[in-house]
Amino acid sequence: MRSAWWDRALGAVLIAAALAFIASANSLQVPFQYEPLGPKAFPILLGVILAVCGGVLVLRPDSVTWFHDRAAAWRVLAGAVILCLYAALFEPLGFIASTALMVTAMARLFGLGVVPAALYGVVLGLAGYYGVGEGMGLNLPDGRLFGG
Amino acid sequence: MRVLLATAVAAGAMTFAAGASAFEPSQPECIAPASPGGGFDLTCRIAQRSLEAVGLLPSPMEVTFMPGGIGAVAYAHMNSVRIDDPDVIVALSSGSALNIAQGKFGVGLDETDARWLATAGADFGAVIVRADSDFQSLGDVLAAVQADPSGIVFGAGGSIGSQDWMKAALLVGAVDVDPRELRYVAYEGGGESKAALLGGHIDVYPGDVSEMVGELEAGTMRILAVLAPERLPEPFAGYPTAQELGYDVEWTIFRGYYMGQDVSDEAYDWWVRQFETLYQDPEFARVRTEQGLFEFNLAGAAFDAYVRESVADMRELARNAGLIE
Amino acid sequence: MDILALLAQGFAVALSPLNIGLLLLGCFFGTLVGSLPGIGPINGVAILLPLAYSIGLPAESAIILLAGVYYGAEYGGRISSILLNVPGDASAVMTTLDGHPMAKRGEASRALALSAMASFIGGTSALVLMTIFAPLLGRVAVGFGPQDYVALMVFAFACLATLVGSRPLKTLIGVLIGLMLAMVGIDGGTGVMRFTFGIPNLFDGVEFLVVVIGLFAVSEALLMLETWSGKRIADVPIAKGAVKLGEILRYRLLMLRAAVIGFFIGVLPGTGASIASAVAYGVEKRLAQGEDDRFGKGDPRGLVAPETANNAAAAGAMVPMLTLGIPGSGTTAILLGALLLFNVTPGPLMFEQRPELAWGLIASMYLGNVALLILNLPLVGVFARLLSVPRAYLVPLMVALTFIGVFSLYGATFDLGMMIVLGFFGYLLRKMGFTLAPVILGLVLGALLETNLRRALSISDGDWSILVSTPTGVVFWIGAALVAVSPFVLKALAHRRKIASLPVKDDE
Repeated sequence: MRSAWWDRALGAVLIAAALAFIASANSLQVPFQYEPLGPKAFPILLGVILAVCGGVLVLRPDSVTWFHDRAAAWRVLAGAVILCLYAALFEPLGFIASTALMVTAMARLFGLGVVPAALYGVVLGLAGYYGVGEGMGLNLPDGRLFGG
Repeated sequence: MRVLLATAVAAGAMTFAAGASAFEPSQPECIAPASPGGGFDLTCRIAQRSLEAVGLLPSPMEVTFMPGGIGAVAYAHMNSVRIDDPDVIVALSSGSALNIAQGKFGVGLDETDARWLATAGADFGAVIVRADSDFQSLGDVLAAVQADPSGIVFGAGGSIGSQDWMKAALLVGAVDVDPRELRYVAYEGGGESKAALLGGHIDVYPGDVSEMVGELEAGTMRILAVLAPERLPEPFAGYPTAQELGYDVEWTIFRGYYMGQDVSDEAYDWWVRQFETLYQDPEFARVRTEQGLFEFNLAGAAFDAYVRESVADMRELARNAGLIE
Repeated sequence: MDILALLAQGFAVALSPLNIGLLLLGCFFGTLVGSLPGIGPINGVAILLPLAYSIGLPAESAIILLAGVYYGAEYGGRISSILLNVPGDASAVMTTLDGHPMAKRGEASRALALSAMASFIGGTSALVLMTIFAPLLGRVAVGFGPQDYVALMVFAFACLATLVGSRPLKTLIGVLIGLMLAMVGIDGGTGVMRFTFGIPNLFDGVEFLVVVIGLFAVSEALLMLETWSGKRIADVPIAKGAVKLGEILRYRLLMLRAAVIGFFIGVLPGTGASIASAVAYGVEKRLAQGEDDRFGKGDPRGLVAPETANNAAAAGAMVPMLTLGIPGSGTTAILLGALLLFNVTPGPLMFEQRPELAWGLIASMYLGNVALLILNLPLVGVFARLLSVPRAYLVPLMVALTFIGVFSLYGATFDLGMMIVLGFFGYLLRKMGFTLAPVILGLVLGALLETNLRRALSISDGDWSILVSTPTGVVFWIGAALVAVSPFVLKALAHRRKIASLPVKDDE
């Protein structure tokens, strides 16, 4: 899937983002300031430059190759979902349980069998919590669902 | 709401008197709403070390970090996830109170959204110049400002509306100069401000007393006045207060702790008692002094009233300076 | 001056069995936390600080332990940059540019060994400079005003222009994205909230570490998923191109330049190792005219320069902390806090009142660098083997470590989410031919450029001529102009030389 449209789309998104950025900067309520620039000038300048860059990207895009095969795309998507779930469950489930689940799922994506993946997950969860967490004294969530 | 709370506190105090309290925290925790190493970290360490040293905790206290917006993130956290957690106290400072006053502590949150627990101690504002400065007294500085408001450069560790800026604004306000007429440079924190003062980029630094120990010993900077209500103990006893010099300016930087607003009276009172006991102990005074704080003991209802009053005062100041509507 | 006598006195302190033991422990622990993606020197020092205090170590021993962690982490930071393309913190970002391509080419051991030696040279040269010039440098550092910072930032941006890559436009867009991320948060001048959407977690701005980890580590995990072929990766010959100790000598002038650049930028409060390594990289790429196209594809010079510079900067950042009590970086701020905790007030008087501490620390830094080199060289093989770990084991481990690192520092699900969103964004950008280092540099430089420009204008009451009012500033402006025009000049010179002589070396 080699196409110049990816760059064009990105250029358009950048222009929109730049305009939103400028609008947001422009709407700031500043009681007073001690120098001529204030909090608005810099963001507006950056927004203008970014909009111009986005324009150039729309007009003169590169061809970008996206996924070579469908399986790769699905793996990335699945990985993205796993990461989101990991972040969402990190505090509620606690470090050990959420890590065990994430590791199992992620290792499965890389073709590891169910049993070794689950085993690795439990090992990493416990080792992370007791080794890195307790051992180094870092804060890790205990989880609110069980006993929290 | 205020009345309700006051009654609740009174009721709690009576429970204590009856000795009926069975509460004990199972996992005491102090949240420092900043990155490790800063002032909030030290505030938590004071509680951790002195409470443990005096034997007022059933199990060791854990210090955790929750940086963001000078405590705003932790305030939001304490008003959602842990609103009734009886084991956790959170460090706060007068900087937090100032941000609450200016509505910078999250949407819809104000000083009524926490149970103010107790203080750790206080620091005070100071007017600081470089050792070789021409200014010999606070009067010299303010006379110069009066003659030409943009003639000298104030620089300090905070933006417009921050504690350091407020000190500058109050000082020049005492001689009827509009703080907007000043030249004021905002640095990040005391370290950068002191560097700027030493480098000669700024003329006057409205900083804090306790951060000056090293510079005073080395003789690189001078304190022209302290913004305390009365003379400070040694080694600062030689510095006049602004009030003595005839300028009605005072800036107390208190450090203390709060709890979630739905914490039970039983738990709140237990913590208040621990701090009241702590204040009697010389070990606490030692730890506090080591961290560069002066005595400033207020717990329970007294501290609650103090915070509310401070926030109200600060809101008034911010309104007068045109910072909020 | 009897600096040598004082230093000898320092060595006497540092060489006591307890202090040597603590130093080694600190260095080892530092390397460990530094090498874990997402856990950097700040975590390391912050973790050990309360411990050091509670077990009642004497002040000089505690600070030696903590300083060991500090520069141990700087050594460790390069490991995940080279092997995984995941910098542990902002100062190791530049190391990924040529370090990782080398590892991919099968030269992981060589890259690790070269960079360990570069770190040693950078750290040690900076220490020599520090021993000789420390008291003087403190003065210079504070004399460096906002207007000088502006000129320095412009100089750094000019050096960055060497990073253009295949598509200059995309590099520029990357820098702009970084600059815009730097605008988020409470404005340091007016206290106005910019682009925070009322979210308290954004009031302090976007955290560097969250951006670094998100853009690099999370996007790397996704890329690894995409390129996984189902088969075991053909064994990369990790030992290929193992270093001969002599090889590093080829880069002696380069390292000298990088060490000096790194040290002086490190001495300036607020700038630090990430800018130092970027400038050193840019300068070397500029000087390598004619063959500069190898940078970014695994040129050892592109690895040695930033590694020398960031270790030199780490040592440099100690100078204002020790001599003036002014921390130059986040980690030195914690070290300063540690000193205060032990009732030691850093500053000019510390060298007089507590010479055993001041000089003991400096001596321990010399020893620490030697210890780290000895510790790191034999481990090169062990670390390099990390590359042959199957992805099914490596990627989940990497993800778990990044979550640990971010959560332990910020303690909030919000930052985890932010990291992931940035990771997806970074993945898209990489797929579209962007390099990510410019985003990080834009983020670091942007905040400094804007604040210092506005500070300068506050000082001058709006008069722009303040920007060229100091000799230091003018030097940087001229330097920036030279760096900007040098490609054209050098190209013209090279062209003339080419006509005069035969084409020179082609291979090294």
